[in-house]
Amino acid sequence: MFLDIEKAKYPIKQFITRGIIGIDKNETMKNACKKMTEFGISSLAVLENEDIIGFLTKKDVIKGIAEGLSVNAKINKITSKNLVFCESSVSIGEALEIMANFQVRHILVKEKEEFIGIFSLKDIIDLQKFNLETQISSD
Amino acid sequence: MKIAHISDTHFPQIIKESFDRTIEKINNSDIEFVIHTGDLVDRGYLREYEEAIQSFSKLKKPIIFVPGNHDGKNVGLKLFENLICPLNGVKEGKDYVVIYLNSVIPDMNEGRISNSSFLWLKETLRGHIDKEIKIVCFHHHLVPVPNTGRERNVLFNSGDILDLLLKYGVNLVLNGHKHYPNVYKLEDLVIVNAGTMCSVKTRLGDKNSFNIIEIDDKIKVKTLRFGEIREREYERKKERIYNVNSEKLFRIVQIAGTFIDDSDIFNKKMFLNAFKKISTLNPDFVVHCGDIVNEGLNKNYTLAAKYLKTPIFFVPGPRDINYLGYSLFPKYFDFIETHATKKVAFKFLNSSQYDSNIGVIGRGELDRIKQFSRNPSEFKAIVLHHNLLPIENTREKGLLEDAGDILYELTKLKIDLVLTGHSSHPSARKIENTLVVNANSLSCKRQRSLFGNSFNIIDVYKDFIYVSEIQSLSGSRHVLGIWKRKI
Repeated sequence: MFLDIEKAKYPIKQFITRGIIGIDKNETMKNACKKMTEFGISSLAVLENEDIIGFLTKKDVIKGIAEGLSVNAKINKITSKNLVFCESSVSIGEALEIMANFQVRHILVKEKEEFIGIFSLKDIIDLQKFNLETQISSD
Repeated sequence: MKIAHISDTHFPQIIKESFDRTIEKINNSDIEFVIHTGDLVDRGYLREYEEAIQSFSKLKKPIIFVPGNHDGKNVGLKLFENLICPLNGVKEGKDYVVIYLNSVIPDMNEGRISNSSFLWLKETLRGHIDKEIKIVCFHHHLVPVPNTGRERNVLFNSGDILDLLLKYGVNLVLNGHKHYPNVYKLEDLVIVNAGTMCSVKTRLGDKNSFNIIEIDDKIKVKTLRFGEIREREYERKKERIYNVNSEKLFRIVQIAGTFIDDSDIFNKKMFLNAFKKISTLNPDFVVHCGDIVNEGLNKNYTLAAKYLKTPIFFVPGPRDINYLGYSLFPKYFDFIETHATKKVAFKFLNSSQYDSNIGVIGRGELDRIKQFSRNPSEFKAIVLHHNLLPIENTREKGLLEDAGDILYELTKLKIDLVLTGHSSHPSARKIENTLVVNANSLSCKRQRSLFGNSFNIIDVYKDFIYVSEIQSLSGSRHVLGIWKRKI
């Protein structure tokens, strides 16, 4: 089964790593790639004065290079400014629905008007193994 | 909201003056309701329950009771249910929910949240996910408490409970049991232990006490010991965004549980893959948190010396010193006590005891830790084998015997990082200003992570610490978390 139906009903906040890695909007594509590799992640929040103003993924960088941009071009040129997000209380199923509607692989997670984490397709893969209970007996 | 947290009244062994003064204080305050975290009575007898009910009739505020191990003595839980309140329940307000549950194993001092209660707690949290304030109460302590002697009876499945509470964003946990008031902030969760409100059974000759907790933008915990007030205050909001431009200071590779042996238990393929990966990670320090060999035998140490040629700092685990290990470990590996550079100072502790899985640090070593904390390096790390905090997906067998006192001192000394390597499951939690990271077994077939054998990398930046787990087999990376550093 691709995704356990039971798990799809659980709130997304149960599965996200809290914390968002961000990069200044004036950084270069090269530096963004370097930082994604250094942190072992495939997306970065794009920051202006500590606020998230956009979102950058590996896919955006590849597209930028394919379109002829130099690796020294500013990330601002390829950053998605329309932030796709959901509340932390929505279920995995609902979050996936939003991701499918916007055709994105990452979704920002919001709680009380603040971004608290990112949920990605990689988290879905991990979810297959995830289990909170370590017992199988009834009591 | 403002609540009173009382605990461990132990009727009929009460100091009447303490009981009356507390009730009077609560009655004359703007407290909304009271939570009693167990051990209402001492032996679970009907007469004791009747006396407690009679005495609490003086209280003019609503009260929630949870059962404690003493309430459950002599089949007392039945009486508790019939005379006091249900064992598990929910109190709900506009913005808050209080979930209270039974952690008692009848006629035992140790506590456990049963599987059915665990599932009930999970579903109840899920049902109240939108509540601004979530409070969970049970009797047994979730994390080790200081000044309570040898620490072998935290909640049996506290690792799983802690994980669940953190995943659902619970704000406050209220516990009793140890008769010693204590407050910790662990990640976003404030964990409060109450002292005894009126029992003669105090620790350290302590006074009776109770807590008043106020929750708005902050969580303020006021412990009222008669004649003395102690306050702790915690922000509820936490920094979530970390800028990659922060300067990287150093990288630690943390490994544990290599279990080197010529038997099947040692997974050589995992070991070789993991070390191949480590060589590409350019660590500034490699730290082995113990259980280098499967058993302390000469043949294993000979193999270990052959395999572990990279410069590594070692602390012994119980397997390293059993049989002849106590003599072989120092022969094959250097155990140094401290290593300091300008940026970081390490203190390596031996927590293992001969022929025992139970770890201990001891008072003498604690004095040396206090001395170490005065080291001028800007970042201080302690390395030991046994656990200081409960680990998810395990049962509480790995905690140090004196975890309560050690944890208290390390957090008080503001040690930046504690690295441990027991229980074969990765974990990273920040308690107060101290980040505690546990490593899974790197190459033992007996391990507990659903993602297989692994080790950790800890990247320390000027503004934050970034911790990831690396799978031994594939080298793939899972982020365990990111935490702001105190500057």
